[in-house]
Amino acid sequence: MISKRRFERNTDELQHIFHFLKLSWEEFQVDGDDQLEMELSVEEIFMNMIRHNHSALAKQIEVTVEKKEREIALSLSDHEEVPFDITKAKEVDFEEYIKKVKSGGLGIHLVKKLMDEVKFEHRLGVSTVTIIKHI
Amino acid sequence: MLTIEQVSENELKFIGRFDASQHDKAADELLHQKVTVTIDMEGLVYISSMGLSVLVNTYKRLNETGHTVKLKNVNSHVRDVFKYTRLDQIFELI
Repeated sequence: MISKRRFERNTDELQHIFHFLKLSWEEFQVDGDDQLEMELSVEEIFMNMIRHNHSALAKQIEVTVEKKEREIALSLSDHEEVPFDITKAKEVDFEEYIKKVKSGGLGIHLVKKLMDEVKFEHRLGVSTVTIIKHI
Repeated sequence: MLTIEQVSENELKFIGRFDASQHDKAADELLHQKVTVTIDMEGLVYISSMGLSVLVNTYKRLNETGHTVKLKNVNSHVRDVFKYTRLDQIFELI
């Protein structure tokens, strides 16, 4: 079972993304905490894409939800000239982070904590981040 | 959608979802706080890293004058977000 939709690259689209995901949760019978963790992970990746990918080719971002036997796979795909592989993003230095009380930079860390798997692929100018949650 | 209610002079109540689209609204509201503020999060079901950054920036600003941000009635999902980001070491969760 697969659901797929494209979204404009602006923050206001988050409400439409959450609505799209809500419909998927109902269809795929996903429970409350799993829903929140996946919505949070999708938001972090989506915001990362619209804030850091400034490619002229970057238009809409495609979100795909796929239910497999005991897992949900969510993919976000975006045109990207210089691929940014979030699986290789530098780990947060929490000792330094807390000492200096920094803000920001926690989104990717949260995704890695909340999801069971995080994958990255760059093919034909399109970067796809896939996150998997076992349910 | 995030709703912010003023409970008393130094206490706010956050209700709903604190996602990136609510960043500016919450930042503007918290800018009015000049002394230690308590935020009742009983009705807050969701917070993302953009929401956390608003709280951290408020903490940093208030901490410069010896004040802080206290969070109360934090539900288990939101508490996990603070734990995973280790912000539970900065904020007083009561």
